[in-house]
Formats: sequence, structure tokens, C-alpha cells
Amino acid sequence: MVSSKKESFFLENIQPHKGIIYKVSRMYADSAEDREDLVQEIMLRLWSSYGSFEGRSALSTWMYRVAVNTAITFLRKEKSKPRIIGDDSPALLAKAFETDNSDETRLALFYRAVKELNPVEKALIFYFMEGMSHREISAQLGISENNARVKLNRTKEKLQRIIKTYGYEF
Amino acid sequence: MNFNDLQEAWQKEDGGEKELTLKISALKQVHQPIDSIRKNMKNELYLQLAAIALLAYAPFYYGISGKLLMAYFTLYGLFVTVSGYYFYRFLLFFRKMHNFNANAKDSLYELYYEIRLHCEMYKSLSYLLFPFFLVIGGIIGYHKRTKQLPEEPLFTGDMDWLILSVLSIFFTMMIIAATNWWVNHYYGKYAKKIRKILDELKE
Repeated sequence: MVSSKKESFFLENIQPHKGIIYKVSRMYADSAEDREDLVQEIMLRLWSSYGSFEGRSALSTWMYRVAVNTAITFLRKEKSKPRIIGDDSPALLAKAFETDNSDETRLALFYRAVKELNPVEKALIFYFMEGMSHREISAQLGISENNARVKLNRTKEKLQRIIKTYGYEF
Repeated sequence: MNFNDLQEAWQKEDGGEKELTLKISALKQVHQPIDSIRKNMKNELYLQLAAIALLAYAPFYYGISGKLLMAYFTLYGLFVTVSGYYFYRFLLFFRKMHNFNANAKDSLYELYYEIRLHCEMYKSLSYLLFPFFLVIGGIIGYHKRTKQLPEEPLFTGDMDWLILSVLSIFFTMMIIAATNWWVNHYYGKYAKKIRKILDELKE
């Protein structure tokens, strides 16, 4: 655990935006262990880049970039065993959704579907869910506004198709 | 269910009660291509330093002396100089911090070109050092042979030169193939992965 003044100040500043880090980790890492590793990886990249943050943009805008850039190239732990289907299997989620229509179950289903997207599609959906405009998404990804619009629409359609294969109306 | 419902649920999610912490011990873990490359580089550096030390000791072990020893250390000096230059270049790469602040495309392009540059530097070092190894190995082989069979000198007939040429070509091709495999296996795979992501960003 780190405890110097500068580090405490850093942690204090990013704490209100911790949702960004947890959501990005949940989208890009499958297992709980990988998610925890990705949270720490993003934290370290934020910390090492914190000195170069000049405050020309909002802290959250800078955090989005570092978190997504880190997640896109994140290397998962080598898995020697095949992936065990856990609580997030579409079949179990379908069963849960029949009786529980809560936000939590809805999001669990969403995160399950997101796992089937590629890294760029995940970034597009993440920024869309955060309420960013096409212009803002294009600036974060470094692509044209039109490209962001086309890609986002395609990704949304893909996500809908995936969720429908789970047996939900979307 | 629709995207509006999902966005609404998403906005309410704030990461929970758990506080964010900074674990410096996590720095030792390898979760980025650049970290994995650095880890491999570090391991290879130890091997290269061991090779330099062993090559300095080799002529004394084999009892090489006189003009052959002078030729050996002239080559060895060049070998160390070339290695030193590349070690310096690798050190610069090793110390360079990757920029995670840029937009995704710029950040990925920078990473991609850093890795590609490293791969090419690695290959050129391997190709450049190979002739040194070949000649140094030749000096040791020549010395051993003349010591063991002084009445049968080497390189007196056409056949000796032909065998030497064929062996040189064979080993050169082997080194090229081995270097390409090594670079692709340990470094190039990351460049490929990043290229694939960059392609997904294209119009």
C-alpha cells in the first residue's frame, strides 16, 4: 500500500471516478482474478502518467483514455485449464432474468454479451454507455466522427444480435 | 430491454463501496506487451553478457596464442563494440515509457512501431553478430585441428574451401530462420495483435 502525500492526493482525486476503472475492467477481463489485475494495471498506468496530466481536459476524460488504452492491450494470465462456465453463463442468466428483472441482472446480461465483442467494439460501447457523443467517441479513439458513428451502430446491432441469441427480446 | 434501460442501469453503477488502492507490487506483474518484451530482454541480456564473458575466456581455455590470439581479440573487440552499441539502443527502448495518455489510435500506433523497431533491431544484431561467431568459432576450430593433426593442414585443397562455403551458407540460413522464429515468437506476436486492433479502427 502506498502512503505518501502525492499518492494520497492522487487516490483522493481519482476516487470519485472509480466507476470508470471498474466498468472498463468488467468489460475487458473475464475472470475475477483478471479483473482485479486489470484494475491494478490501470491504477499503475494512471499513477505513472499522472505527472503528465496537465489539466487541459477533465480528469475523467484523461482517465477514460488511460483506462481504455491499458485495457485494449491488457494481457490475461495464461490459462492452463479450460474456462469453467460460471454464474454469467447465458443459460443461468436467462433463468435469473425470468424472475429477476433488476438492473443488476440486466447489466450482468449486458456484460456477458460484451465479452463476445472485440477490443475496439468494447471501447465504442463503453463510451456510448458513458453517454458520450459521436464527436467525443471519435476524439477518444482517434478516428473520424463518421467512422465512430458507423462503427458504433454496427456494434450496437451486433450486441443486440448476441443478446437475442440468449433468448431475450432486445 | 433496450439500450436506454441499459444506460440507465449503467449510470447508477459506481464501482461499489470498495476503495481504490495503489499496489506498487503489481508493477512486477506482466500485463502489457511492452512489459513482456522488457522481461524477455532482461533474460536475454544475462545470456548475452555470459556469452561475452565466455568468449573472452575461450582462447585461454583452448590454449590459443601468438598471431591467432591477436586475430581472436581483434575480432572479439569488434564483437563487444557492436554488442555495446546495441545494448545501449535496447536500454533506451527499455527505459522508454509508453504513452497511455494519447487517443487509442495514436497510442496503439506508437506501441506498434516501438515493437516493430525493436524486432528489426533484434534481427539486425543477430545477423551482425553471426559472422563474428562464425569467424571466432573458425579460429578455435582451426587451432584445435592444427594442434591435433599438425601433419594434415587445413585449406590446402579445393574440397576444404567447398565444405567451408557450404557450411557457412547452411549455418547462415539456420541463423536467419532461428532469428526470425525467435523474434516472431517472443516479440512479433504482440505487433501482430496490435496491428489487428489497429485494422479494426480503420474506416
